[in-house]
Amino acid sequence: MDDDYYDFYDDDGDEENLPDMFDHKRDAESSAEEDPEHFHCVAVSEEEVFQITNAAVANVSQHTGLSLDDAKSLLICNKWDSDGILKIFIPTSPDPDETHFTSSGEANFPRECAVCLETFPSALMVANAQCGHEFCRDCWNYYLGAQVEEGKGYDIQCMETKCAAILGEEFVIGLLSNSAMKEKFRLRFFRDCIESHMNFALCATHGCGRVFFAEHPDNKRVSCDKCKAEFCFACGSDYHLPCDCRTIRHWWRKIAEDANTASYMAAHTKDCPSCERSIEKNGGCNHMVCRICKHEFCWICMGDWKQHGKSYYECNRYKAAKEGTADPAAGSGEPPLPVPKESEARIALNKYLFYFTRWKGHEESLALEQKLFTQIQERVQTKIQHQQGTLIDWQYLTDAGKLLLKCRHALQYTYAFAYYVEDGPKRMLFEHLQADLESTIENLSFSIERAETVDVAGLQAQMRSAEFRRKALFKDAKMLALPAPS
Amino acid sequence: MAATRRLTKELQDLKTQNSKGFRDIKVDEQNLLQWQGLLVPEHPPYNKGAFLVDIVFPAEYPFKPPKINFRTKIYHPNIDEKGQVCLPIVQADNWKPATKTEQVIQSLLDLISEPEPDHPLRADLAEEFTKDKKKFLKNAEEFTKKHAEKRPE
Repeated sequence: MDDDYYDFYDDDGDEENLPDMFDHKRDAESSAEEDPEHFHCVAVSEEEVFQITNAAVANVSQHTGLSLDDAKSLLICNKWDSDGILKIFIPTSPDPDETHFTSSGEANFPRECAVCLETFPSALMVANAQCGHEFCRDCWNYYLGAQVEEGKGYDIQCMETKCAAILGEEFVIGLLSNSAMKEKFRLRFFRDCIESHMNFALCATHGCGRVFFAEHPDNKRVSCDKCKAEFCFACGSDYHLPCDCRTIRHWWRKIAEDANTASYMAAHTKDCPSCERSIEKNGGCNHMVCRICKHEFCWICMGDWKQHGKSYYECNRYKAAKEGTADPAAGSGEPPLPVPKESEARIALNKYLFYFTRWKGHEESLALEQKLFTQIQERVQTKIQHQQGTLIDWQYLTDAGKLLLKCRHALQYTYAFAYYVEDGPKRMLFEHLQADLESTIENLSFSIERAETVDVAGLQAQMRSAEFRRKALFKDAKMLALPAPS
Repeated sequence: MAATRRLTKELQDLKTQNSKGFRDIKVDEQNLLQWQGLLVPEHPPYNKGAFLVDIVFPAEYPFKPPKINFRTKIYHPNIDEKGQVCLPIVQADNWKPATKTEQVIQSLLDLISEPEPDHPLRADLAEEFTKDKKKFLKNAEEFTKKHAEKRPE
């Protein structure tokens, strides 16, 4: 159990070494909670799932008088909201008209099954306790088999016309005759339990089957220890903070629909803005140095890198409308030509392309930096084999690689987020923090790619700086309520 | 075969009941899965005629629902030109094995007398039904007189 425990925060607590401007006292204990991406969740076994669900089932059953089977179905239908169920549940005394079929006086009379219309001795008839409707064992078995075959689980209804009663787990298992069918149903029912329960999440990888538990469920990152997948605890799709689940679905749909429009941007080469030689991007860092003319520029905005380093960095900032002053005819004495107004569709497309280019750029950087991370690990292994230091000596490099991946992922998703933020001072602040993070990450990426020649203290300072900015950006994003995507 | 046994009994029951709304049930002795009957609505505008309806039962009946098809043309928002009808009780998701054909027919008669313009198969007729009911009733009556079967005496 302890081995399965995840604290998704493991590289914090060293902020006291931040530059002066950020240096205020922190409580080291609470620093994990202060990280807006921080999330506690544990991998749990099937037995542990049952321990938790069975306790809730027993509680509801005890207070409502329902059977354990029915209480479980009721809980699944109500997303395991025990309090909500108990608040609205009114125990009813059994209706004498409804119970005639179970009254002992008629128990031994042969009865007709309303499905096959055959008459059976009472021993071959089976009633669902919840609604009292009874049918012969063969009809139940055939019906349930077909329902399970269709992939149904907790949501199988009684066979009676217009009866909405849902059949309980043990009731169904008891009536299925085929053991493979029983197993299929059991698995489906287990999945239904997990999927309807806010505190559980099933690993997003098909067939992995790992289950995670979180005391405080949220749309945060789960890393599967079994298949190494990373996904959002709340919606099961790729991890997507700072975007919420609904916004990221909208964004993914949008980029899928616009894939053709934007495909030209997927080209992997660009020309150096200075000497115009074609340059292929072979690392994740967006700080490019042309091999021919040594010109330093930014891969994302193609601007001079000088503006990205120390002074005001703003290649992340979308400028909605360009000022219509850049008219070359202005100096020639002729009246300035009216600047053609961009159509609304054009403006919308430009805005989208702006964010998409950056989203895509960071996605590609992330992929390349994942390769870099693998190389780092191999390099560290080789060094250790050649007696050049121990694993502990090189730990900082592995940490730096991990941190870079985390921050790059965060940065990528801030561009989907920024696309939806409304114009105004809040957006300005967000983009400012985004720019801060972006320039820090590019520096970090640049340093890691050249880690052998960079001093350790310098790299560690960059790491702290990146972490600080990532947190600041996520905290700000948390305060911003995104408008509903149209 | 479970379907044949149940259908034999359902057919017997229907014939004994001698329903006014669904008459002249014709079933091939060799194939109990295919029924045809005459639907005789009581309310205007469809009470100026009668409608031939096919009911086809799947081999898995009663675990799978029967299919209903109009052989006679009808001017109705929930029945299209091919005679297909949108009847919730026989939709795969709603189907219950204990539902009898008698209940299906009753539900069909209810739909005929009270169209559901919110779930139309013919949007044009649904619109006319909601916006200009008088015109709809007139058109439906004329259509019934022209295309429907003769009502049995």
